Amino acid sequence: MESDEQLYIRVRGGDRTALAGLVERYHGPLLKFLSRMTGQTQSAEDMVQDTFIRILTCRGVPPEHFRPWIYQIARNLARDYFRSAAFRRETFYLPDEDQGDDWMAAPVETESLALQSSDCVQVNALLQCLPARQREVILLRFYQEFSLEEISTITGAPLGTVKSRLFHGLRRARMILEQEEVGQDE
Amino acid sequence: MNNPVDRLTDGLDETQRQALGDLNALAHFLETDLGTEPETAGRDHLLTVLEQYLPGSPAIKRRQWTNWLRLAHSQSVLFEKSFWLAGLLVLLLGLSLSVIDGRDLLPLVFIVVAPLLAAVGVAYVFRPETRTLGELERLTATGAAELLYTRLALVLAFNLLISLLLLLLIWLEGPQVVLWRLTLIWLGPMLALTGLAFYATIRWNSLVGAILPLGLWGCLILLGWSEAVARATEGMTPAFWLLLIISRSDPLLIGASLACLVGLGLLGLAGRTAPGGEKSWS
Amino acid sequence: MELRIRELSKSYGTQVALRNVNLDFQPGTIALLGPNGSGKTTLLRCLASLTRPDHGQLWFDGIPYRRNLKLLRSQCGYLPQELDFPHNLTPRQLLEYLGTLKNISESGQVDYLLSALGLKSVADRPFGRLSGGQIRLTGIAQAFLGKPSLLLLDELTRGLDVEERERVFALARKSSSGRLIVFSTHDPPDVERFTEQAIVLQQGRVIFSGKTEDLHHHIPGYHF
Repeated sequence: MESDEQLYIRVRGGDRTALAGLVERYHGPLLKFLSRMTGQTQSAEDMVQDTFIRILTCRGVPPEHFRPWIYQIARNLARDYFRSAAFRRETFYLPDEDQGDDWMAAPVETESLALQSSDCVQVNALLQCLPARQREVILLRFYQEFSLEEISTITGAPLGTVKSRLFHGLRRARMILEQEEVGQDE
Repeated sequence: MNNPVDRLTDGLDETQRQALGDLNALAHFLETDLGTEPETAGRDHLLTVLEQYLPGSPAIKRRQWTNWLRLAHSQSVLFEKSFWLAGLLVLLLGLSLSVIDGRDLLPLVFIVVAPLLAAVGVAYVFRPETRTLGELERLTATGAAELLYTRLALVLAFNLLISLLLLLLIWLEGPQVVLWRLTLIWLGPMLALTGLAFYATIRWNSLVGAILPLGLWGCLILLGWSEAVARATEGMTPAFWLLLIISRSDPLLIGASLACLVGLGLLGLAGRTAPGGEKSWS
Repeated sequence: MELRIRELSKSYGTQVALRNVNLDFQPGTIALLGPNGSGKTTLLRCLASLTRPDHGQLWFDGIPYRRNLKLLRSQCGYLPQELDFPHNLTPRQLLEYLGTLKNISESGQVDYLLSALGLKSVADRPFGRLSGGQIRLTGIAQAFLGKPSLLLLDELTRGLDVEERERVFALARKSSSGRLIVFSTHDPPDVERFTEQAIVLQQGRVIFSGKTEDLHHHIPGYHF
């Protein structure tokens, strides 16, 4: 099977079939990543399109490793979304107390988890409870199965910071889940 | 790597893993989310849109330099005669001053007026009378940023031409002025004020785009003037003092370089804020 | 070119311009009718992507607007209700300027439009010295420039005399094949001569959408 990098070089040459191949490979995974990241399917679809447009209009040297690169673009678009006026209009805005970050989704009240019906919605609610920096590391690790070194490249954060975000994110996620289970038992 | 807990914690230090405790419940909980699957129709639409951006697609045919020239020429039609005349007036003013008192006064006038010319020019080009036209421009194949930068390039090029002619005069009249220093000290404020005018015009309107840089420049001139007047007690004329600091002051050079960068940054920011972009609608 | 609108709403402060509008457009010519302030201009501006709706979605050829404004805008000709062109420009300069922006390579298009709309004699006269009707005709000419597949014409015949209207309709008929033309008007004879389909808006709501001959059955008292 042709590698992503080879397909991308053909896309840069104007090959429609290669573009269809890349879309086939990445449309679903990127949509899932961005939906989980933002909690908004419609915004995620827009960002997936923007991600592909960015790689199509990129005039620089083709990347050595395509997969981390396209996720880096998608992740940056998600970051821009959190910084955008549209996002601020829809939700309130808090600085990240852990890292001094300037972007994160407003934490969802943990009580609301129990109100969600399907598992998918429950997971989404839990993910939205986490600061965006921690959420992205968990998503890239667990669902996209990137190594921490690759996540460090994608997010532009040092490896130690990535580890710290993963650690704090998992601890927080576990705590929320346990609180939820206790709440349901009672 | 199939173990869901490993998928969560792989790469963490042993102490961190231990501190996290049993993550089985969390890992299995996260596994229940299969994510949003894209619809086939959605993928087809995505491909239709993306094909326009493929290299070689007629929809995004890259503009050749001849097309840029054609675009610039078409833009120049929009500028009223008064715009060109104002620039020429400044040039004439410079010429006449050089005849009266070429050695001292010309650099002063040049430094003070040239950036203003650029800032006012930018605000003028984006005046409200072209609003209907602005809407029609948005409904064309030419992007808003392309238009803005072409228009800006025209204003800057015209001002640059006038300024270069004045620079030549100064150099001919006063060989004690170091030309590259003077150019940089002129270019810094001009780019910064142009950038500010451009950004303010795009972000708010052309009135703010004119007032903001004019006000800022006015304050700087007043501050500089009071300093020059203080020096006058030491027997220096303002123009002589200005020539002196242009020739010797490194902080001024650094300041001008920084102003250049700020100006370029504001120009880039304005391009991203340009109206009519897809972001501004969606 | 097909357009679809679902649950479109738009307000300006406390004034509601469009309320929950649902419409489907196929290629053809459609008249947009309704009293002043009924939301015609807002609807046309939303369709042209010049006004952002508060709620609702728009699609063209099945693709949401927000995803592909670039393509939509490159295929759209628009006549604004109010025309305020720079007074120093001439009709020819305006058309040539917009032609450059639309990447039109055919050199004869500007001359054809000027001639078809009877503007040849005033083509090089500045807008400051033109009549309201001549300015409107230039506005119409620029909308047809580039043979767009979507034409949105607000107050198409406002301020035009009988002869000028005939020229406009002749041009529109020639250009209508395969295109979607939506035009607003207050003049019933315009509708009768130009199209058989109409949409009627009242206080921001669609109260009729269908054949003009059925209009008086649905809205008693509405006559052409």
